[in-house]
Amino acid sequence: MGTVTVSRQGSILGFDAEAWRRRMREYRLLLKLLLKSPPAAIGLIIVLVYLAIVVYDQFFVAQNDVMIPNFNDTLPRAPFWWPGGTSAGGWFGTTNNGIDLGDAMLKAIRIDLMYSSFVVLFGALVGCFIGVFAGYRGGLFDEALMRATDVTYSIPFLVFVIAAAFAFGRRDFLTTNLILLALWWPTYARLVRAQTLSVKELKFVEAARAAGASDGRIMMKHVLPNTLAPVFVQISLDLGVVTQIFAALNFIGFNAGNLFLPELGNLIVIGDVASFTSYPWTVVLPGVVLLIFTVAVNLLGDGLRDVLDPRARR
Amino acid sequence: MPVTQAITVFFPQTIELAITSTVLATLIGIPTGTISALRKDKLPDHLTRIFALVGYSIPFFWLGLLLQIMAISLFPQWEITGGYSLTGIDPHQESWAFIFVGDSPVLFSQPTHFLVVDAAIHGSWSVFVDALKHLVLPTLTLTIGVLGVILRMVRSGMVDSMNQDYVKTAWSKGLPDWVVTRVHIRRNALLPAVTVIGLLFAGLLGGVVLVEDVFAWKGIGYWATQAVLRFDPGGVMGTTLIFAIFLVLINLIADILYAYLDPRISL
Repeated sequence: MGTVTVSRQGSILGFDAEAWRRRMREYRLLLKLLLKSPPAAIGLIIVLVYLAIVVYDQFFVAQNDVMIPNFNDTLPRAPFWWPGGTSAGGWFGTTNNGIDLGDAMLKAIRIDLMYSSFVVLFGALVGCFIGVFAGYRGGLFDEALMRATDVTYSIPFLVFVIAAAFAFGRRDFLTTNLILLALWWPTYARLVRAQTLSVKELKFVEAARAAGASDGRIMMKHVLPNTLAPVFVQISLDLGVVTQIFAALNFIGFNAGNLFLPELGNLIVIGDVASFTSYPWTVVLPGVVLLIFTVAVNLLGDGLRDVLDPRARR
Repeated sequence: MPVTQAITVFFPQTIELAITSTVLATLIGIPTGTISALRKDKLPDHLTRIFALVGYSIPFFWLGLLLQIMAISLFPQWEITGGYSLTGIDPHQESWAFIFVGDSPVLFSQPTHFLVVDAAIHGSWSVFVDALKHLVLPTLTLTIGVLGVILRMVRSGMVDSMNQDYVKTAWSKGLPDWVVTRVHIRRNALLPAVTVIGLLFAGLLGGVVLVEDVFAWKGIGYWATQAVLRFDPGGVMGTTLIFAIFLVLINLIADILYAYLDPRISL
């Protein structure tokens, strides 16, 4: 007790250096294959730029959770490159209440990405465990799970969020996140379950069982890691979808009562209120930022699917 | 207003949008997807794929606003934005209204609550044109979003079935091009597309909430949003129930179509 056990392969406390190196080699190969297709490479670069913005916002921007209005100069000003724009507008212009659009969009990217990745990653985590359990054990739990996912698939997400938010009587971020989470894990549970059904019949699982591994160990160590490829693809595609849902929810008024919340949907509403026909950039620019992110994430997801699906790898 | 009555007034507006945009998207999507698959990796294919990618990435509500900006600044004479110009009373709110045709007020009842159909029944040409004009932008918004998914499904389905043995057999028998593409390739590619079009209604109904909000289109989605923001439990329950019933019906129809398209499947 208390001693460090070193096994024959040099693994310390279950950390297997050789397996780790092998896995890293595999990831490097995947990255190389991914970068071979130009659309996927472009998608990856754009996603990395957005992530860099999130990190920059988190650590180097003061007051990164509120837009700063300027009540001395409330009319929107066009960016200097816009027809009729002046240099006073700066690169991205200003929107209603004198909010600097560039600054606000920078902060909005952080908020949007943080909340959407919370929903997607937690959904994936929960879904993976439930999916592998259902697929491996089968039986009544599996049956119940499949029917439950059928139900969630048939609900339009926006209607569900609206109805659930009403039932709870709250429209803040935590509630919205939890409701979306309830709607998001079934996708992953289904994906992982389908993979588990085929993986659990493979020889190495049988070998592990013959060696006396417990069910829990087989599920976590042998089955789950081999079901993750489609999950990564789905995570990538879902990031765009959930970001859009957040923007949409803010757009129809789920902004937690915070009118100066830097969020892309909220920015579009603010621009809309300021009469978008006279000041079109206040609506166009936040939407473009959202569109570029979604396109990039979709490109990356499609690229990942091509790389991770062995049948498509030629 | 009792919930049942509200549903009879609001729901037809939503159905109107959903039907027009799905029909339009299917009519454009299937031929375009076919061309895209037949000219794989050529210019038409690349253009279609870029369009599809942007189409399903674009946020509905933003696209709606964008189209409004474009319509107002580029084609102001068309008058396709804004409220209905002919009726003093909003025809969506009341089951009947007086409208002014020329100078004389005319009683305008709404037997179906589809404004386009009602105008046709009454034979009032000006109301009919006005209703059609206001359908253009919301329909276009939904169509562009739905079209992306349909294009992808049709294209990938056709590329898959083009590599099948029975297609090679059909070519080598010397059948004409259009027979092979229509009967052998496309018929099989349509199966997944039909399922997707059915499932799209789920997404479409979600999207309808936003599009109705942007265009102030007094449909069930608009009503649902207003019900939540005003804490109206009857409204929320009514809309949720209607959405659920509608979805189940659509899925049933998709299943029946499936059996019709593929004789191997029996219900």
